[in-house]
Amino acid sequence: MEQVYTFITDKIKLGNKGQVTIPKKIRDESNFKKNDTFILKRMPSGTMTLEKQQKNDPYDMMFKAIAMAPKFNADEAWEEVRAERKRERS
Amino acid sequence: MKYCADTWFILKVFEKDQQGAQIIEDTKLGKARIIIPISTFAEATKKLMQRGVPYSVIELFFQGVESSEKVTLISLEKDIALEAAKISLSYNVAMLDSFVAATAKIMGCEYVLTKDTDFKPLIKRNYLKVKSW
Repeated sequence: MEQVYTFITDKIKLGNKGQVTIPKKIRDESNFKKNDTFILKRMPSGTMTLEKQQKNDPYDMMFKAIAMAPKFNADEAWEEVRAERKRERS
Repeated sequence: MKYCADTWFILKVFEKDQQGAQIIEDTKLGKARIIIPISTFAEATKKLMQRGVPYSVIELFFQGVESSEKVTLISLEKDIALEAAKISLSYNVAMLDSFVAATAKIMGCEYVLTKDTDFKPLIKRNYLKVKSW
């Protein structure tokens, strides 16, 4: 079963050199360890998210998944998507 | 080059389409960026599963995306939602298409990767450009 995290909001402060401390509860629940790397995303709105980077190469993961996918006709699947979108509009 | 991916592009990629793979490769080489709206993720996941692609395979692909700096999954934020509402109202475009167009606009994408002709009103008004093959 997929991990479900407790919804947490917490105040954190910015240090002198721009460092922040992620609260212990979040570190423990998320299994963050020293030297883990994260992708910091900042949206045009200013919202920021922090995502733990997987240890495996992202492109290896993407291309491995593509290779594992069974054969199907994307154009047929796309026509189904278009028909579904049209139905939702009406 | 910064692209916004509609469901069409994700389906082509999973079909092992060469041009789709090349665009992903281009992000690895630093020549491109791909933005994937969360609505595309939902719609593409549903369609891929209907076509027999195991969820574990789709999840592996998007785990790669989430670890990448050049291929990015974008959640629905207030400013994107507001822009989508305006697009849907002004151009009479369906909400899902509007989410894609709004994400492309807010994220500064040069092209939407799609074969959806319902974007025509937006293309006519120079709101966005599309790329397909």
